[in-house]
Amino acid sequence: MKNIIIADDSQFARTITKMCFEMAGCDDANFLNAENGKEALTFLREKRIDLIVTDLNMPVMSGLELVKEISENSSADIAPILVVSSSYSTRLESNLLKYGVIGLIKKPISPAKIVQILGSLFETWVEK
Amino acid sequence: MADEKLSLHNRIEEITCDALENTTFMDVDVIEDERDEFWYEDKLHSFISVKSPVKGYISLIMPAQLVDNISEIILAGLENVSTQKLRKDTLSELVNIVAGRIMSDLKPNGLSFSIGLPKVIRYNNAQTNYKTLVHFFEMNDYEFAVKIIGSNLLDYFSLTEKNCS
Repeated sequence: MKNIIIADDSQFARTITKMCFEMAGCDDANFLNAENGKEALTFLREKRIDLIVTDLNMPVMSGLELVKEISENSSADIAPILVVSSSYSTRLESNLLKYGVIGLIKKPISPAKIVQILGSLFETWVEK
Repeated sequence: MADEKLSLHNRIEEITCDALENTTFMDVDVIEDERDEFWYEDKLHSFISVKSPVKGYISLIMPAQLVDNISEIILAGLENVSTQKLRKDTLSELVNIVAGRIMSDLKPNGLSFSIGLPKVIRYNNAQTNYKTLVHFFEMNDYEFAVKIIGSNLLDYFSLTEKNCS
């Protein structure tokens, strides 16, 4: 079973994200809810994580701080990071890609947007 | 020029309908005519500050019953969470999505922007001196409004003709 962290300060947003991932084919994944970047980091220390899905605009520790923290302090085999945010610009996306983020989805999220970015990752999950 | 501004107004309506329909799975329709009573009925007001490239606010004003209906669709079965908390959570996320989409889709291509964290309060119909643009919508037989507040933000989008007060 794959462990997927969903980091968003909104329960509403986390629920929609989980629904969309299930509709995109991840219906047997274990979803770990984090209300901010700090809680996501705690999960990262405690469990094997296969994917991190994070919002940017969060209290306590933002998604950008989380991405930077992971990029600067983690080993090479860190889980892929997908950013799902209402904030979008091409400049923001290119900055996030520099930190190793694999994609930026502009809210509202949808199963089609997930498959578009993560389709190849999901294929490797099936192969394993 | 007038056509360009009308097009921008249409874009705000399109963006709002698209963002909320794809989030709530309900149909959203534009309302052309404002009802005076709208502002005197009990409503919740969620707003988000735009910090850069210019300052302003984008807000969503909705009846509590509509927010409850949306919460029920998405968060059905969630236990041990108060109605107040669900309302705040749902409305905060909705204004976050609408504000983010308006800023993303209307700003010049590629330009970054910064918005704050959403806040939710009971709507107060007190008059302010801020220049404001309002668009009205209907969802699930309830009316709601999207406001863009602040002359700098409105000027930034060149939204100064229709509906401004």
